Parts: sequence; structure tokens; C-alpha cells
Amino acid sequence: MKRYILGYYRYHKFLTLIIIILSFKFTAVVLSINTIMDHVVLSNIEKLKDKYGEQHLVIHDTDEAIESLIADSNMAKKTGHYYNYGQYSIAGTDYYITLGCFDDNGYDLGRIKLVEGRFPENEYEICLEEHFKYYLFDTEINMGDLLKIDIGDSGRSYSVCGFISDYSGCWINVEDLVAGYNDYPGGIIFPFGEAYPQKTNNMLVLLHGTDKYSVPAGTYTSFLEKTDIYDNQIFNDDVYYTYYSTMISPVLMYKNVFLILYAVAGSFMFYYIFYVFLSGWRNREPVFEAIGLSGNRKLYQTCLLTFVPYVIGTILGSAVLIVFFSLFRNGTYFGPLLGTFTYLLVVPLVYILTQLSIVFSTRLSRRKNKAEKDFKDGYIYGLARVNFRKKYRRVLSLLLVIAISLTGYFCIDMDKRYRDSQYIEAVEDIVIAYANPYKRIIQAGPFELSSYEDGYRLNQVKELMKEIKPIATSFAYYFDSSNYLIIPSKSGDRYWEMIEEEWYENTGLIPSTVEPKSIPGLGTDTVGTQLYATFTVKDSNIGEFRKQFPEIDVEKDLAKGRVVLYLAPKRKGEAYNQQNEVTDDSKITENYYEPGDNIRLGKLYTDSSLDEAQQDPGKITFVSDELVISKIYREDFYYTDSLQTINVNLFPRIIWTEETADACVSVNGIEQFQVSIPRNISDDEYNELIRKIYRVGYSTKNSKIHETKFMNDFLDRLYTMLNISYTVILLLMTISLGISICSIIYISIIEQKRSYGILRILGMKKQKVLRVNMTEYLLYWLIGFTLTPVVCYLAVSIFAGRILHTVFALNEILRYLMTIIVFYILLSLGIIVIGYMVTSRLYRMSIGDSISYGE
Amino acid sequence: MGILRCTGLSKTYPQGHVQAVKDVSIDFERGIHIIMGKSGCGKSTLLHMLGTLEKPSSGDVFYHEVNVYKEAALEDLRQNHFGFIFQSYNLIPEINVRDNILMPAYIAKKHEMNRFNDLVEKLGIGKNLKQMPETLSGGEQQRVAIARALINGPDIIFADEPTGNLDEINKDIVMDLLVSSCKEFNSLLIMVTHDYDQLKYADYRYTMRDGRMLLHEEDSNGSE
Repeated sequence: MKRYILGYYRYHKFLTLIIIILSFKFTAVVLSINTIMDHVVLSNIEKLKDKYGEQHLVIHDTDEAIESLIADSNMAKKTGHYYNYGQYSIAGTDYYITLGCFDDNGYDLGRIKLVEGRFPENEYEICLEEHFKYYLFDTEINMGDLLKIDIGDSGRSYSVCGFISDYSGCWINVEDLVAGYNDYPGGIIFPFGEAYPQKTNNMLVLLHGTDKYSVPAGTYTSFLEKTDIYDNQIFNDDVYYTYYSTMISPVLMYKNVFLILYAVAGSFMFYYIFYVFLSGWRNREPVFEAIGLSGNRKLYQTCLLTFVPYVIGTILGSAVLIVFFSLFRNGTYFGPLLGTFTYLLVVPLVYILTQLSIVFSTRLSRRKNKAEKDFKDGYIYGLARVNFRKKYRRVLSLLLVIAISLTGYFCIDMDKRYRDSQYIEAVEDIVIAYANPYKRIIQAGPFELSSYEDGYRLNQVKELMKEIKPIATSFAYYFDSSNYLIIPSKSGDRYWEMIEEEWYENTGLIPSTVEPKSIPGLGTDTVGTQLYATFTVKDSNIGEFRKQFPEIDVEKDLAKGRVVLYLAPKRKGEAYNQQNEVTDDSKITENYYEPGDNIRLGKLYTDSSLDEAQQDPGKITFVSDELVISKIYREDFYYTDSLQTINVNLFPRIIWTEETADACVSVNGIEQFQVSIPRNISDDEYNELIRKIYRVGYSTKNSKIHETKFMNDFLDRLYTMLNISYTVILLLMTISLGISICSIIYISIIEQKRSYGILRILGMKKQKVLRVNMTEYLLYWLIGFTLTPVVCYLAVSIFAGRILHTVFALNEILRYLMTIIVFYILLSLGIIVIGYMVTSRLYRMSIGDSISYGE
Repeated sequence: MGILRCTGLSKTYPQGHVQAVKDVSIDFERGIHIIMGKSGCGKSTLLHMLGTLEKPSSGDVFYHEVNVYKEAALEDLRQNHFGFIFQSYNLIPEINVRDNILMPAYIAKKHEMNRFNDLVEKLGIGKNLKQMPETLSGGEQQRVAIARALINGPDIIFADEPTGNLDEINKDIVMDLLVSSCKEFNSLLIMVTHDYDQLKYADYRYTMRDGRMLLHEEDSNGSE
């Protein structure tokens, strides 16, 4: 049989060569899609890890029990540590610094990069984050400079021995941040804990990832279930959730979509080629049956005939790609081995499916009775129709290859357009400074107290904003989350009950730590809620506000000390927790406020530290402001401008001016401010601006600064890479489709060499043979032209709806339809040219050669 | 002068420099011509060159004194003046018997239904008209091939081992039908075969060996 197989390849050398070329091309494209898209994904994940650390989670304040629990779980691939020695003020400045250090694995996992000097080698050396060098002080800090930190009574001086790139600001999950406890150290010191009043041991954990992208997914959940460590662990959201799920994961999904589309198209293509290739074998089967070849051996023979050229092509394709990517390797992650798993799965799967289809369809066609045919409507059409009937399955597969390829193109185009519509090229980098107000609170009844230093000082922020106004726009969030709306005593109706229910249901009760009656001015009867919101009309938004709310007279209704109140009507299913059921709107907007009434805001306040206040509640005072309500709207409040959009209206909303807010004693801090820096300013201007922002941004405890510059650059990079990748993939797919179409048209005509030979014997002219071919291809053309829009429409609709979650709009449908029309016009020209060339070639052959073909 | 004439006809295949036919000159009168020879002696190649299926390397073929390779439209000759029968029938497998027979008429745009009916009746294939070629026996297929060859009323029928695939009974049936049909429809028959039994049908006999024409006999007028 080996001799027969070799002879078969020799006899059908052209077809054998085409199978090798097509499997070569198929393997190369599958590997390319994998490699290119994996490169996009992995290089970007790597970029994220460099910025946010490689660890999946950080468990802070660990002890031996937790460590052994993690060790026993066998789920951690690598663990590292950082030690937090507390947060201290820098002597003579407004700034605080968290001191600490990492162990070796900690440095690795946290991707702590030394940019200058070295790490400390004795207890009086310190290595600082870069922003300390450039931004915080009047003069730049250099190596060897002394930095005095208020530790203990006399303080402690450190010599600066190095600088590391800024990283701790990435710890932006500000609600989880407790300065000096679980934050990353901004000053790396030599591990020497005796001099410091506190020390926490924090553990960086890298889990065994479920895939090469190192995303823990289910592993993370299993880890939590197995270890039961829920309370003091922080997941690395940025790398593994925020960026991954919104920016990286879609790329992987696209990769899979393209692979599936290409694999399906490839299967149809191979079905066609194998079918033609095996037609000679099908004619010989009876001969082999007659000489005793068993059914199984026949099947084996059938498979072997296609298997060998397919494997040769696959090996060649892999080898060329490996050489190509090795030569053009760009970084660790740009290698052909990345696609190995998918490649090992897709390439054989396509072969197996195709082969099974061939065997199945051959058996099926044997069972079918031949239909009667006649030539009443002209022999050219008749012959074309006969050829079509003979080949329709294969042709259908080719048409599906075309339809799927075009679908791939449309999906890529749609994805690109969708991303472009979602992504507005950054014209500004936003710097956001956060101060965490939530930690170490004192609870007195429904009121909470956080220390004064937990927020930014109002004046300081306002001054900064005034200073940077010529260059950048800024926006501050008032520290109103620690203020309370005092519920009017005449109320008590269902509205407030529902608000409180939502509060309790969602957050649970926080037990009181001091008695409300022990706080001067508070008493036990004052009831307040944090579930209200404010909207501040400022110079920057007053124009837009007037435009959107012409019925509000800003000068009059929002004069100093006056507010406008929006009471969101509570409706069924609109409550925060979607559980409240209110059927009668009128009842829940009862007039417990009337225009002209006062609205009262209050908060707990202390000049002492939280510890002192806890010990002596008399040091806590209750301060409140009374504002006059100018107007009341019992409706939702909607506002949007370039900086903010307000469309969530679950609670009452107070509209006031900046002047009114500033005058309130209960509003004395800012929890967050952000500055938008135009991208077209010079580096010097940028650095100067950043210096100013950092100085205010780091002027309080528990503060962190987050810059969107990284995100903007990251998105720019990701989208540029994706666009390049898509172009390359499209190019490969187009070449692939072109090769497939040319091969298939060529094969289709060549395999009828004998039939055409007979027709030539009967006196048929070349033009007539060409007409038969063209008529036959016109039928395919018509079917393809009808089938392609249907397949494309269905597939792209699914892609748009299920994956992009967008609508396949009419203008896009029409545009893609036009593309299909243009493609089919070009295809028809191609068919005419190739058909003419092949027919001419047939006519250059002797008839004797033609009719001996396939005998 | 005969209907068909060839002079100095030779064929050399470039692959292997094989000279299949060497300098053959024959003048074909109306009647039954049978060219004998062992397999590989070049008789089929000669037939193909005479029938315009294969261009000669040298020499000329004249049909009614028109040089076919230089002056005639080959397709027209094949459509209207020549008919072909092969050992392996060469029917078009995808279409039924009726269409196979009528295909030359379709191509030549002729309406030959009377002739078609006559042929079908004479060859006894009326019951097979709607069948596909592969469902017919060898003898039946060859009868269809004969009908197809005669449908356009050709001057000359070229038959390449027409009984090569048939059993003894069918051989005689097919040959009887072929010869009688040619006579009835006034066609000249040029047949190549290696089967000496077929010589009984010949008006003119030829023998080939190694590409050369060795012997030319005329049945009714004695040897030449």
C-alpha cells in the first residue's frame, strides 16, 4: 500500500502540492493569530505588572498561623513580604512617609525598581520613591542628603541612599488603605524594627494561575474558600480585574473568535480539497475491495492519503513560523511556543473533522439515487448544472470559507470601530489625589467621626486650584461623606424609613463606640443620614448649570446660605437594593420639607487624635449648619458636563454654590481632588504642575495620588498594537483566502479535464467550454452572493450583540453589504481571468491526454 | 483520391524521445478499415492523429483534400464530419444516456431526432435512455458510444479498440451493429484493434509494428 500511496501522490502531484500549501498556510495563520494576539495580551499584562506588581493579592498583618495556612493550602506559587513600620511626618514639612521594607521575593513580586543608588545597608539609610526627589521639596533631594523623620521624641535622620520608581500611588483602592498599616512603604529602610513603635508583616501572594495569563480566576475563589482569609486581604484589582477584564480579556475573546472563524473556514476549505483529492481513490476503491482490502484498511488508507501532505504542510508551516518569530523576536513573550496548546488543538481538530465529514458525505452520496437529468434548456446550462450538482457540497464549503472570511473582516472592523467610538484619545492626563476618610472612625449613634487630618484642607486645595487654573482644570469633591443630613423631626414617614432600611440592609449596623449623649451638642434625639448627595455650582460649571436648569435662579435661589432640594421620588424597583416596593409615589414625597424651611447638616468634629477622642468623648463636638431651602423639586436630578455626569438619584440631593458650601462649618475638608492636565504642555510645565499637585496631594495622612497618564499611555499602546495586529491578521487571512479561491477554481476546472476532453472530441469549441465554466461559476456566484450576506449578518449580529454588547446598526449593515458587493464583483473578475487561463491551458493539451485523466 | 488521406505522418513524444508513429501514408476510401497491431505499436496514436485528437510531429492529414491541421477548423470537423468510439467508451458519466447521445447534436446545434430514433432503435438502447452511463453494461455503454458517434451523420468514424472491454458475445454484437450502422449511414470506419477476429469485418486491413505500417490489404480486391 505504501507504494500505492506514493504513486498516488506522484500521479496527483499537483493536488498533493496544493494540500501541502494549504495546510502550510493554515498552520501559519493559526500560529500567527495565536502568537500575535498572545503577544498583545502578555506584553500588556507585563506592562501592568510592572506598574501594579505581580502579586495576585496582599494579605496584610499576617502572622504565623496565616502563613502556615497559606503554605498548607499549596495554592501559592510564590510569596513575598513587605514590612510596614508605620507612617510618620517628615520633620519640618506637611508630608508623611510610610517606612518599611521588602524581602527579596517581595521586591520581585512588587516589581520594585531601583532607579538610582542602592537599597539601604544600615539602619540610618533610606531609599525613597522618586516623587520625594522631584516633587515634594523646594530643592531636589539627592543621594547622601539627610531626611529627618519624626519618630519618637527626638526624631531620626536618614541618609538617602537610593530612589525607586513611584509605585505606592498605585495602591488606589483608597477605601482599604490604612496608612502605616497596610500601605506600601514610600521610604525603604533597613530591616530593623526596634526603633519603630509599630510593625506589620504583609504578605504578597502569587497564586498558581489557571492559564498562562496568570489570571487566578477560580483559583482565587478556591484560595479564599480553602484558607478562609477574607478580612485582611486585598486583591490586585488593577492587574487582574480592572485592566484585565475591561481591556485584556476582550482581546483574548477576539483571538478566540478569530481562531474559531478561521478554523471553521479552514475546515470547509480542507473538506473541498480533500474531497477532490480523494476522488481518484474513490474510483479505485472497488478495485482494492475486489482484491480483498477490508473496510477498516480502506478507511485507514483514505485517512493516510490526506494525512501525510497535511502533516508535511503543518510541519513546514510551524517550522517557518518558528524561524520567522525567532528572527523577529521582540521581548520574552513574542514566541511561537505561546500558541502551542491552541495550535495542537485546532490543527488536528480541523483535520479530524474534515476527514470525518469526507467519509460521512461519501457514504451518504453512495446511498443516494442519481437524479434524472435532461438538457431541455440548453446544453451549456445543462452541463454547467451537471457540474454544479456534482460539486455543490464542495462549492458550498468554498462559499462558506468566503462568507466566514468576510465575517472575520467585518468583526474586526466592527470591533475597531466600536473601540474607536468608546475610546476618546486622551487629550488630558488626570491626576487624582485621594485622602481616605473611612478608617479608624468613632461611631456615636448614627454619626461617625474620622480625624481632621484624614481629609485635605479646604483652603489649601482651593489655593492650588486657583494657582493652576491658567494651565489645568481641576475639580474637588467636598468632604461631605462625613457630614450628615439631619432628618427633620416632623418627618418619620416611609421615605426616611426606606433610606435607613437601604443603609442597614447594605452595610449593616456599625456598633456605637461612644455614647451619643456623651458628645456635647449631639444628644440622643438627633437623627442623621449620610444617604444624601450634594451638587456644587461653581465658577467652572455655572454656565452649563444655567443652561440645563433655567428655572433655577442661581443668584437668588442659590444665594449664600440658600439651597435647592431635589427629592428623588422612590419608585418600585428603583431603590438601591432593588427590594423596596413602593406603589404610591405621593405618599413618599410628603411635604416634610417646604420651600422656606431650613435644612440642617451636621458632623462630629475634634481637634484631638482619634485615640484621645475615643478616651474622652467630651473632646468631640457636634457642629451643624442650617441652610434655607429656596425651592424643592420632587423629581430626579440629572446633570452632565465634560467633568461629571450625575444620573444616580437614590437619595435627596442638595444643590448649592461653592460659596455656601465653603461657609458651612460642617464642610471643612476635601476627600478627593482631581486635576486634568492637557497633553500639549511642555515637560517643564508638566513637571511644575505635578510638583504643585503632589505637594497638596501628599499633605495629609492616608493620601495617595493616582495618575491616569499610565492608563492613557497603556490604552494608546494597547489599541495601537491591536490595530497593527488586526492589520497583519487581515492581511494573512486575505492572502489565505486568495490562495484558497485560486487553488479551488483551478482544481475545479482541472479535475474536469477528462469531461472537457470528451466534449472536445465531440467538437466543442474553447469559447463554449469557457461558457460552461462561466455559467457554472455564475451559479456559484449567485449562491455565494445570496449566502454571504446572510451568514455575515447572522455571525456579525451575534458578535455585536453577545461580545461587543452593541447594536448592529443599519448603516453598518449597508456598508458591509456594499463591501460584499464589491468583493463579489472583484471575485467575478478573478473567476473570468482564472477561468479563461485554465480553459486555455486545457486547450493547449492534447485531447488524448485530457481523456486519459482520471481513467 | 479517398475521403481521408495522410502522408508521411509521424509522432514523436518529447518525453523519452519515443517515436510512436513513423512516416505513415494511407489513402482511406469509403469502407471498413481495420488497423491491426500489438499493444504499443502506435496504432492508437495514428488514429488520434487522423481524427485530429493529437497533432502529428510531421506529415499531413487531408480530409477531402483539405489539410486538416493547416486549413480546417478542427472543432467543425469533429462536430460534423468525424465520430469517435473508444475502448473505455468515454461517455460523460454525469448525464444520462439520451443526453450523451445527443450531446454532439447539441454542440453542433442540430435537431437530429429522426436519426436519434433510428439509431436508438437499431442499437437497441431505447429502454436505457434515462439511465446513467455507469448503470449500463459494457456492451450497452459501447452501443451508446456508437450512437453518439453517429448522431451527426459523420463521414468518418474513428474507433479505438471498440471491443477491447467486451466479452465474446458482446464483441460480435457491437461490431455487427457498428459495421452495419456505418454502412447504413454511409460512414467510413477506421478502427484500430489487436483482435484478429475483427478482421472479418474489414474491407481494408493494415498492420502496424513499431510505429510503421507494414501491410495494407484490401479484402475484395486481394492483397496490395
